[in-house]
Amino acid sequence: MATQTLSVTASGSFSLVDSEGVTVFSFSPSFTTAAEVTDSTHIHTGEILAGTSATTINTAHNNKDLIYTFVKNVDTDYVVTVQADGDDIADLAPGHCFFSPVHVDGAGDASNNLDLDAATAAQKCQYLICDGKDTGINTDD
Amino acid sequence: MAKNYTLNVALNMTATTATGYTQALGGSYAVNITGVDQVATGRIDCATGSDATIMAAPGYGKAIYVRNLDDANALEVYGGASSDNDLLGVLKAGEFMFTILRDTDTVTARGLGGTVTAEYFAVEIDANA
Repeated sequence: MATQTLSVTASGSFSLVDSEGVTVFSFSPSFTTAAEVTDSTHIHTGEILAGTSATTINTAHNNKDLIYTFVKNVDTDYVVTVQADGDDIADLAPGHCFFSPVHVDGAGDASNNLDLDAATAAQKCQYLICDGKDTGINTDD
Repeated sequence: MAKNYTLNVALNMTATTATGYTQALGGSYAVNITGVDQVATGRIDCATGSDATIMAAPGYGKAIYVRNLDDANALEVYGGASSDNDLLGVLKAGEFMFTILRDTDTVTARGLGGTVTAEYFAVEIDANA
């Protein structure tokens, strides 16, 4: 039986500098997941015009128990909200991006979606999502 | 006294299959923050069965980074109390998340399967950020 094997690498660099030029903090995290066979079936990427109602970016093939999610607002005008199971998990101004390992399921696995919602007017977003291994939790998100 | 800050952000994600198929996406930007007074950073132990507070309620919104420093157990990060069931991320050992939210919810975290030490920063943002 054929299987799919997926791995994710994420890295970030964050620093906060005050108005006097003093660096308050700096972090540079990174991680690479183990090559997962179980539960992982799908990498999905693209650019989409997020509408003023929920625009779904996952597919039916995704493992909604854990999706590594990167979304970037590449438009110029308004904030885009990222929602997991209808709950806001990011509000991205133009040029902003976010990353999180997201548990999309509602109560009872395999329900609901990962959506983009541009409340004011449609905005273009880029995204990369990749399945991870089940978290083992089964709670509403 | 409230100060002005610049939060510099760079994020990258790469997804790879065993056959060599790879997709990557990244971005970098600066967030100019004016006149806010809540900046928190540090490490905190997040027990199972109770909420550890990463950030108290901000006036408008926040930028949040959380990293799971445990070598075995996962960490749940919530917008609001865990009873609100608004999961921002589920971080396995060594994983991190970063997000910006424009709401006044607190941010809390819980260990899964044992107490987890979380590394974090939480920065209040204003409406123009």
